[in-house]
Amino acid sequence: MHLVSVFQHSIYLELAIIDLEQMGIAKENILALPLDKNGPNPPSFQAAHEDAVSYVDLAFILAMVFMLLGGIYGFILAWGPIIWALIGMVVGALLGLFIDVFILKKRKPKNIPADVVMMVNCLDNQAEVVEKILWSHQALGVAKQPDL
Amino acid sequence: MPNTYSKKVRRPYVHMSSFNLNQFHLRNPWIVVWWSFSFPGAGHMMLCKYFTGSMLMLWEFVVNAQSNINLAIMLSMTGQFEKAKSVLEPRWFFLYMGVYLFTAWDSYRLSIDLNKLYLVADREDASILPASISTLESNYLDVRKPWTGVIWSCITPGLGQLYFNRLPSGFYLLICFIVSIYESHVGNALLATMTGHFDYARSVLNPEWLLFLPSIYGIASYDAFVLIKELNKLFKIEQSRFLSDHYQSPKFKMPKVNVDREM
Repeated sequence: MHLVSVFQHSIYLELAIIDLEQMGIAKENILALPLDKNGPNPPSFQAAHEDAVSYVDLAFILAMVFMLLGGIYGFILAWGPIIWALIGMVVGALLGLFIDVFILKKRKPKNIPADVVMMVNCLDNQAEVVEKILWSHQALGVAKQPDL
Repeated sequence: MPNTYSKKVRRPYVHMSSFNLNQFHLRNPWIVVWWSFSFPGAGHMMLCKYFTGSMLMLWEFVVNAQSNINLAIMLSMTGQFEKAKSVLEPRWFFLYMGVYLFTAWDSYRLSIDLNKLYLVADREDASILPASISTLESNYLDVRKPWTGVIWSCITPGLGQLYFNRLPSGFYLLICFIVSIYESHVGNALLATMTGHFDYARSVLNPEWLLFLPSIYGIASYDAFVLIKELNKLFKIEQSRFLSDHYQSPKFKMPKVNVDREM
């Protein structure tokens, strides 16, 4: 019997493998294939600018700028610096997000949760326990392929 | 050759210790320069140059507070130019410019250099130690949530850093935050604002120290967001290498597909 499962990278995955080995499944019968999600291109300076982080850079920067301006002009405006600084922070963050998403058209990079494909080759009478171990360690999905 | 942890690396990009994790990763140099301008030393702290960063931040606190630069900024921006001229302290003010420009220039130069070093180390598959324990502390790679760090750093700057175990920047930012909050009387102003006494809030606040706060919040939350993302990447790289080394035996029997059925 072969069990094919999909996992995210986490400590749970290592715990699952330990449990499988404890129940007597040999190392040679476990195949873990981490997926390369960056494509064939190695990282570059360009990639750093298109990274998930740069998608929200402007929100943090403008939040800080407007918080500062709110704090300063709060000294002459009616509600005082505390409220204006907080208003400035929220307005700045929203403005930054708006510019990034609608004007510079930055997109959040697509995030596919599946990280690792794991195959376990076991005897038919072990399959039920193996499946239970996979599911109880946060497998995203499990498939069973009976041997011919 | 197994590529899980070994010490023989010429070009490292991660140093894991129980108190801290230091790493090179790709950055946009202009973003680092921006944070250096908003708070000298913050750019260095973002580049994980914790000693230089905290010394420069200390310099900023001392020289800015002694020469009343923040106060003068507030007065100039609200049109009180004569007052602004009179509060600036010339004995300290002229010391400010040289170091201010140096921090921005130096953080630009450093981010370019560290980007190059990162790329070299990445090609060499420099090794990563997944956990470290010492007498007083422990540190480990794991998948953490970037926004959780941001929220903690927005509540109190420094806590986000403690969440992902950057103890030097975490406790340093925490101290900066506490001193600034205390000196600026934000607590009293918050109480007055909440009860509608806006004039009292305005008069009790000390703008010289209040204007440090937006940059401290900004640095702490942005730094948490970026570094948690980078730490998660490290965890994933390290785990992939471990799995590839140990669980990809050539003896593994692939499932046989029933070819006859298709015929």
